[in-house]
Amino acid sequence: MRNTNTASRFMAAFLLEVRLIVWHWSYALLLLIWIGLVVATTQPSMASARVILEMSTGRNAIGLLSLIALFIGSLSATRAARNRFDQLEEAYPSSVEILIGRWLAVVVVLLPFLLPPLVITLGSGSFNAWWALIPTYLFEGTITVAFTAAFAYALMGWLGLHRWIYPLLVLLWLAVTMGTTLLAVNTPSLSSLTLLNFARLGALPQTQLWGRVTLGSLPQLFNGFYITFSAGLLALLAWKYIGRRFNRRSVLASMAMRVSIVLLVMFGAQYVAVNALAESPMSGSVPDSYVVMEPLREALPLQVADYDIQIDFGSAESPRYTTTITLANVSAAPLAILDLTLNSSLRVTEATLPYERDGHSLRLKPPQPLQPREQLTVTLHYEGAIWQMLVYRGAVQAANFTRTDGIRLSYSAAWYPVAGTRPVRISPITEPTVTSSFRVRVEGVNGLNFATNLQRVDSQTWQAKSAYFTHLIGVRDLAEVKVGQFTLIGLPDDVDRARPAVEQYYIPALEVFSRYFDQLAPEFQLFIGDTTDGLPWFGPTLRADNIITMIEYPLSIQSLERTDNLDNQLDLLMTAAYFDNDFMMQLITGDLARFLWAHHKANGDSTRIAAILNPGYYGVATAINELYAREGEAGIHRLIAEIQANKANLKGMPSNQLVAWIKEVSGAR
Amino acid sequence: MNVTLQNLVKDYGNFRALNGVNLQIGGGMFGLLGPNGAGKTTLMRILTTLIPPTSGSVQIGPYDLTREPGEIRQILGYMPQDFGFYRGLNAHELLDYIGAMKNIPRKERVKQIETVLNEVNLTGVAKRRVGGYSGGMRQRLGIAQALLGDPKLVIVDEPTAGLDPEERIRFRNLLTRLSGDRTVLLSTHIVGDIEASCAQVAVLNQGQLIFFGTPEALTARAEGRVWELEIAQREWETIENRYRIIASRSTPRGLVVRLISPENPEGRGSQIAPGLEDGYMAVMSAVSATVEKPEAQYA
Repeated sequence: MRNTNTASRFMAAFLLEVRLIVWHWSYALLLLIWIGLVVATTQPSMASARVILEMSTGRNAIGLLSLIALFIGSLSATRAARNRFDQLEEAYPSSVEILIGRWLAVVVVLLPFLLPPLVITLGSGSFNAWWALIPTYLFEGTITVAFTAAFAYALMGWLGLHRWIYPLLVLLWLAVTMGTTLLAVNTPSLSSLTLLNFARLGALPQTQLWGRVTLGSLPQLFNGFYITFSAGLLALLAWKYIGRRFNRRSVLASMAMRVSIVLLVMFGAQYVAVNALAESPMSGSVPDSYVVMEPLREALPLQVADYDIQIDFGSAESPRYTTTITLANVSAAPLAILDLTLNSSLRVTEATLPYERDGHSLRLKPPQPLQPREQLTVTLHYEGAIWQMLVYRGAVQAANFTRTDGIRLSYSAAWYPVAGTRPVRISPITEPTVTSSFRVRVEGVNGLNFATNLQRVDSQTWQAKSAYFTHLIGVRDLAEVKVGQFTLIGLPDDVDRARPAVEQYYIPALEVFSRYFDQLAPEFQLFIGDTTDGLPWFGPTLRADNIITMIEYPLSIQSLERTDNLDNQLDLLMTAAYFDNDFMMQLITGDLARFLWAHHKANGDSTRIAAILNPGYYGVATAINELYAREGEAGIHRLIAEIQANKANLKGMPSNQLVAWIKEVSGAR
Repeated sequence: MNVTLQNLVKDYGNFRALNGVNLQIGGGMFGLLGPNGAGKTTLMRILTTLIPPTSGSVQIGPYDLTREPGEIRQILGYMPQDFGFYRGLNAHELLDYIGAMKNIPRKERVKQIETVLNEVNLTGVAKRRVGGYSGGMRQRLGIAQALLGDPKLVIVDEPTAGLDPEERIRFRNLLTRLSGDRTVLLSTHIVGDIEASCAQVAVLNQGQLIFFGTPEALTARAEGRVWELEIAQREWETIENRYRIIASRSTPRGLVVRLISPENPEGRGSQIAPGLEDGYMAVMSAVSATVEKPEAQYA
């Protein structure tokens, strides 16, 4: 009977609170404003459902909803007092179930606010991809709303009804959401502070290709933390309420509180521990592993001339590698010990040569010293999972990993033996500049689709005559489509979205480029992802094979027609393809690219090119155009030949000197 | 339903709001009188389990207030001095919610709501938002919610405050009619409310019980001490300083004052029959005489 009454009171309190909130004019108005806000801030055509729901609008919606939940929770918690109904209510034979009922009502009435982003994303990509995202999105949105409402109830229970509480709530929300993110971003050692970011704004950033794979257990720990935090707050509320109203301590509430505290500490400690394992980038805000740095130029006595790597991903979390390498002594002295670097997570099980393993170091001991110019072939069997994390913009995520739901092995993982001994860090780069021939084959793919920056042989094999920075990715839903010279790799929705843009902008622009750079016919791998997908930002991976890898942000695909975006891309392409990836050349190549882009846009009309270029801003490009106006295509050919012949002198030359140099080359003065 | 208070003390920090109150309340209407700040509301709030006593005990029927507040709430109907409702609801919705809070089964609830709305004469406006109710209607709805669940003990705190005279009389009659076999504890500082309806009365002053008995006994406290005296306008100040004036009215010759005095005031007063208000004032005067400055009191 008592239980029936409790359930009945709970339901009555729940339904009344729903009625009081939903039937108030402000609720409908707030929902309308909310829908307008979501629609206005979302451009569904620009991104996949994952991007919208888990990286942009959806995340922002949950974050902002937490602020609304704080307010509505506070209003709900103080409604009886504001209406002077509290004294009546306190005299009724009810208990904490009415508070819980009201709290639940607040949570339930706010759930519709999670729907607009879902509706908007319905048309963004495949239905199945959209459908698969719903449970997590709603689950996490509900956790955040539940927590903030519980927090508001606990706060109001503690502080009581005061007008100054509402600005305090806003300040608290700002401090937690913005403050923790700012602190974590600026101080990588404080990255664990993201745990306090209950609004999820900026915390646990997901990636386009990998979704949550890169976050490992962090989302579960984060969710667990806030589920138990919410339960703990409600238990505290119940404990205080029962103590006050019944002059006794509730054993059940006390136990729930203790269990919550234990779980809260456990989840929090694990979150901090996982964060503590992450590596901070050596410098800058972008991890070094995400960009191609200047390769090491040290002269190593040993080189790996050839790699033949077979990986069996069939054994779940511990892939097995069979790697045959051809080692060459390029020094003048014999080598008795052959020093290699291989990720310490990979356990060598068998080798055709005696070896020693110490951390990342792998020392092979040939029966006789390897003589100068002599080569030696060794087969290594090794296995193990790789999970390397780093702190990126204040958030921890995996940079390299081998998991059943996704594989990312960038060159910094040392997933194949690299000549020399060096620390395997996510940064700096671990490979020498020397190129090798590669053959990579994957087996036991477990439903993953793979891609590398090598030339594809078949669905599971890639090879190249000369490459470095070799990476391998395995994604469950990965598409690879060839469009002209471009191979588009990414999620199917993104590839579909990128294809017309590439056809419309990249390929015609490249035709103009090819007119002047006809000595090479590069192929391009365009990864539709972002830097957080862990792919090299831009890599001249196969100079000999003419494959250039680059990344396009999914969100910027549709802005490719913008000059300032595309010429930057072409600039990078050109720098990579024609100037040895020498970033010091970018000052001139950047303007050359701008000229060529304007050339493409203006159909070669120098007057229209001049109109497109801003002479004050693009002085070098304008100087190039002046040369073009006088000499036509022959002048540009001559200029490019001069640039290539004078690379050493042009490196880092300021733009005013470059203008003078161009004029001198063109005989304009 | 007997209510027994033993040596009840309530402190708010250093301030003692109730000081060793002993009281036995039986069935029917019971009036609790006292000036503002006497401790009436504190006592009401203790009896309604809203606040715990600092010491002492309260037994309500078979239940101890400190140990069994939940059981007491089940037999309690309470109308506080200052209360409100969710303005967006109508009386029916509100009473349905309160009925659920009071554990009244749904079918029974429907019947009881009709009954109490009828008793307080709000049936006609039961579907109107309570935000639009007048003060009297709100008070009546307050008593209706208190009566839901057929409570054995009904506590009403200053129920007629703010009502016009007509509403006050109607409300008093309503309370009397509803008391039946219940114990109704009526707290007020308006003596007329008690006079018209209560079988027993207690007077609180400065946290102490200074009278407990029937209204007649309270009236008797003023027996032989109530006088009517005709005075000139210029005498007012002198008379006011010497005696406790209960009432006054002007006449063509000056003023006629009704006052309390153990002896014939100024030797020219006419003794008159006391009322309950006189008894209350007499009790209060006696307390003042012992507590306040003696030299300021009349002889």
